[in-house]
Amino acid sequence: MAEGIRDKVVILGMGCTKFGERWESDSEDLAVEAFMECIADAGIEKKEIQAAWLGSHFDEINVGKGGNFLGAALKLPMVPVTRVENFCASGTEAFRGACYGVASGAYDIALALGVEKLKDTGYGGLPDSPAFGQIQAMIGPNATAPGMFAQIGTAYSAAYGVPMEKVKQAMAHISWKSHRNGASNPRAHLRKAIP
Amino acid sequence: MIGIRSYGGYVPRYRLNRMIVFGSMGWINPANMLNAQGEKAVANFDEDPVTMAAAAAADCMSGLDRDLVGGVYFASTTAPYKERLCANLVAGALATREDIRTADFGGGLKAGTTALVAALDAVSAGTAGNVIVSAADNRLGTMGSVQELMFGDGAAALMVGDADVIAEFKGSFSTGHDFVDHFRGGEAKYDRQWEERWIRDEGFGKFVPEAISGLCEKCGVAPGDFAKVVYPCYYGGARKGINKKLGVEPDRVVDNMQAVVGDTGSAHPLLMLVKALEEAAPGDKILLVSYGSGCDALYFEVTDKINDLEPRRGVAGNLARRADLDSYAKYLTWRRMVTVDTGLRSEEQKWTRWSLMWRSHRAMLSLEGNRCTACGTVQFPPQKVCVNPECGAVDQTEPIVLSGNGGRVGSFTSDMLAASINPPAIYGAVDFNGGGRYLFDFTDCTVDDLAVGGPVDFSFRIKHYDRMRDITDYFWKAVPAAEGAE
Repeated sequence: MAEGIRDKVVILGMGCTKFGERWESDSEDLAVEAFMECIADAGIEKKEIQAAWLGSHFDEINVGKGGNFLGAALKLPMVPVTRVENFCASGTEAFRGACYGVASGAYDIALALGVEKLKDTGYGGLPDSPAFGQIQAMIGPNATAPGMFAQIGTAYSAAYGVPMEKVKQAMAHISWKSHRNGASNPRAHLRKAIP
Repeated sequence: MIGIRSYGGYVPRYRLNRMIVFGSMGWINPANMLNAQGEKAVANFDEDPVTMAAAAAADCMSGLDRDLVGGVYFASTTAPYKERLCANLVAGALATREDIRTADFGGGLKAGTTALVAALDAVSAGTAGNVIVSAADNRLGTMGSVQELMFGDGAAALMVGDADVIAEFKGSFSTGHDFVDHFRGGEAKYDRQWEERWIRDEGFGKFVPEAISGLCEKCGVAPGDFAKVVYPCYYGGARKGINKKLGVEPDRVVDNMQAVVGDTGSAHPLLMLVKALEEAAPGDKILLVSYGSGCDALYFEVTDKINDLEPRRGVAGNLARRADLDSYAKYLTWRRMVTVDTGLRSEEQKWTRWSLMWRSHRAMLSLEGNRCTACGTVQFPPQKVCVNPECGAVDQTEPIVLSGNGGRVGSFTSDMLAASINPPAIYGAVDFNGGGRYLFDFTDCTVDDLAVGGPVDFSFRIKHYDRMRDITDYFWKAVPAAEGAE
């Protein structure tokens, strides 16, 4: 009978880069930057890491396939590295993996690292690649992430009788809130509050 | 009795006023002013002869069972493939059986009627039954040319059979002449033509009367016997001369729709025939003549079964849904005549994987999903595992074609970020009438034409053009329909 993983795992330390276009940095640079802050915060040495989980979704324009990237960039000891991806939950996915690695008793110390270098496409927005398989790529609309989510707005407006103007105001409020949160976080990409 | 048992038409929605073209290009050939009257039908960026022929053929199938179809003949002088049978794409869009005859006809503007003659011959011989003939053209003239003004885009389809015949086939007469008034070499994109006086006097002026006389002699009739005479020719003077020479009353000559559509090439005689049939009465004798590399002349007599036909768009229904294309630059862009900036996002190359396309061809060409036989849930794309959470049956399905019953808008968005040659990209979820849901591009509309719950029809369109490999990929899009439309 599964009993969950409560009280079996602690986070020893964390690191995080500044978010942004970071034109001067590759995924390797970003990974090293976050990693160095993390092991300093954890107070451990690299050689104590026994397994790693790498979260990166758009491998085709940054880290490539498999877990090679992390071992190579960080010069990890000879430990298993698992690359995971799950769209916007890729970081969570890496974290879950590392937690289960420790909670299962397989490892004492595991690393979870997420990295995404999205800005080498030459255009704004997420990279355009067949994210939902080959059939969808051939017959689905050439949709963008904002376009997919925007449909919720029109469907919601019709389902609940809320005028689109009010839906748009609510959506704008989310953005206003995000900008205000960014202004108080030195690592945020966008740091200007909207009045 | 052998003859036509059904007909269909398709004219694209958009119209380019010829004075808009002349406004941009008249400086290069001011004499074109005379040709700059009325408007020409312009296929949308996602249309081509295959999609238009599919639409005309679907219209022709109104009220008919798709399993009836024993052959599909496609005719065009502007087919998008040199090798990949377009008739198979049209047949796929109709969701016909695949153990039928399919053939492409081309090479000259009489190809539409040549396909029709071949279909009539096959049905007469008993070697094929219920053959659909669908012709479409999307011809281009260089910027500033006469052809650019005179050509229009469109398609027409006929079903040839030996049951429920609405227009009995009485005979035909054909000529083949290597009279090169128009031509395109193997790699050419634009029509080339010789001096128009020569085309008018030595081409139309000689060959149309020759074909009509030949048919009349062969069938023992006179030109004046026909209630409706159909022949393509946009030279008004030549038409007058031909009518006079043959003794045909002007009110019996079917309007060539030059002012509202333009000349649709190999489709044009068939499109005019569809118009004639829409307005015909039982007993009418119809003379159909094509022109281009010679002529085919065909003689039909309308039966009283013409009054039993299911309603369809035909010509009148298509003309009624016209909308303005108010930009010459958009026309040039849609027709890939100019290089435009669609952004780096548009350069991400989809790769058409033929083994996958074949596996999924019923879903992609025929919009065929499946229905779970355990619980009745309809799903698209077809699924091995039933999507109904109460069911989950595995491999208990039967195919179901979803293209013909329309649907309703579930959600929509207008997206300026998505790569598109005709921005904004407008797409959303569509619920199929009868069950199932998928995401579709909306086309032939603006975002203001859409509302959640609004009705849509499905239309076979170019989904994607791979410029690097010269591959046109097809799929279905959704077009907002009038509430209560069929």
